[in-house]
Amino acid sequence: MSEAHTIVVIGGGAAGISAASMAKRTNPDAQVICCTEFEDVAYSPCGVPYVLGKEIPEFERLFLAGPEQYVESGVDLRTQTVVTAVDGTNRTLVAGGETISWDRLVVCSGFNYTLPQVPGTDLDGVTYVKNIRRGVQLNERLNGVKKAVVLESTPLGVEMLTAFAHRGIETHLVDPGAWLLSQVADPDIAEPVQKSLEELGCTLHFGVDVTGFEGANGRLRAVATSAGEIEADICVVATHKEPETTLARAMGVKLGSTGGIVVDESMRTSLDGVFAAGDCVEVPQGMTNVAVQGLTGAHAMQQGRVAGANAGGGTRTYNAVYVPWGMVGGQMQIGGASFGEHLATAAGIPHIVCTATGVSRARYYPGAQLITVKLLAEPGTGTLIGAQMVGGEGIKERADFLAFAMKKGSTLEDIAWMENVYSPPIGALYEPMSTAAQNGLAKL
Amino acid sequence: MSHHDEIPESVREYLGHDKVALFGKGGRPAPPAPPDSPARRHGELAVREALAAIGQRGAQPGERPVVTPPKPSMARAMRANSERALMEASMSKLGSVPPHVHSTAIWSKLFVPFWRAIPWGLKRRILSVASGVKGWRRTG
Repeated sequence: MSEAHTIVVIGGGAAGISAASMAKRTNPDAQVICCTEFEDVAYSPCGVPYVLGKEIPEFERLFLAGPEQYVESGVDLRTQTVVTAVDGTNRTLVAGGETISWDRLVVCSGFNYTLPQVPGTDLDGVTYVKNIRRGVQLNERLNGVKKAVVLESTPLGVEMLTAFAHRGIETHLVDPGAWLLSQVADPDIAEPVQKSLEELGCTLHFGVDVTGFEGANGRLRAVATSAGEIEADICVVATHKEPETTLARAMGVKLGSTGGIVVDESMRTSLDGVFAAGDCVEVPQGMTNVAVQGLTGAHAMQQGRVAGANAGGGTRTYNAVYVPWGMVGGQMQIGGASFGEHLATAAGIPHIVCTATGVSRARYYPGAQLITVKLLAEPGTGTLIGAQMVGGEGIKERADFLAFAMKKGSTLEDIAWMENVYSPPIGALYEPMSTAAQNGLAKL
Repeated sequence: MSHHDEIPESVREYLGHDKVALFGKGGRPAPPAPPDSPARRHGELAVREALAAIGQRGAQPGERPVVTPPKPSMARAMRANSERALMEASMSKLGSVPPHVHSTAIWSKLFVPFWRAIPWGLKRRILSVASGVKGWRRTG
């Protein structure tokens, strides 16, 4: 367990930094080196859209630690250090021009956005939101922006729509899908969020694809779409998160059906001594065993812990995922777990749908908000297979709970008879999840 | 006495709490970058340097985090095409606005009806096998 060896972690995001910390904790005698191409670690990139939207007053608040704290804990942290080559056979890599030997390698190389295959992507003003320093620079630039386009309503896309609306920027969404967040959400659940964004001044174009970026003097002037041209000073590309696997492929690590690195439940790759975690890997969805990739920062951190512990000689395991998710769009919260009606319909999974709308607090208590809960269950058995929710508050906790309930094989009967907190300021007598399940029992 | 005395070290070890990120009193989450903390100092430095780098020549990390996906394997291409066609069909059925359709006729006109005709039990096995996931315990 305490065998002294060198563990190298590629990547300093949620997965990488967790892996490095955990490897050192598990094996204090090991030399743990963490290489990141970026300038900073231990901050929350997920907070960047909220600083851009001015809900968070300053970028400095997003930092959790300084690099020296990792040095104190024994991790050899190397920022602005690009790993350019890895040799899986001789167990060496080249980082920042230096050749390093490793005994265990943890690949946490993250993701890149998928490049739209249209002309003009190199224009100044075609922008991406990823690391904090480029976020700081984008924040300055936005002071002079009047018109913006967000490309695709992924979770980041919706956050950026909200941020731009808060800044008073005339904002358009261009999305080939039929509704907001159509890769994960159902149309009826997305509709209140769409309305909220429209009330904030966003113009949403669905069923519309980008056909090019038009420029003048090297700068973006407009976004060309299948439905016409939209003038824009800036366009945020928030497309699919493509796993970054350049080094993994060069080593001969096996990739899966999503393009992500295949790992087992110990986060081991197909190559001996090589682990992987975060947005570059794929893991099975618990209900169907289908591989999924590009999950949340919380998933990346947990995967990093498991990979780091096992690289250090531990025996941790990661479980198949039920993917609780939630976010704010406009002034509404939206979330869910596992399948929605749309994904279940697409995959051809038999399901019944049951819905209820309730309140987040006692109806007489100031600030009570409507919450709509939609549950999906297996016909006959009533086993929960998915959930979606939208409302003014209280979405995250329900998404977490329902994901856990699904992991444990809960049924509509279980949820219909669940106990719930009733306290006027924080919870109503009738829990909407329970009411939805009761509605569903009649359909079994 | 450490900052983490209220949580036994064995528990922290098991859960893998990050000693650095969770550096609050009694093991509680730290407040957001408190004044004079290393986090705050680093944050201020990062913002200063980022602002100073505006307009500088040369690529900066994360400036263009975008990629053309590599040529897909057969498994990935099959999955991507089938998934896209099924998602577009579902959007057409459930949405009030039709999606922008990227799928070719082979996938939208032949594969989608074929997939819909397969009984769920068989579909489930196909999904499980085709996904290539092996060696994970089922938790559901």
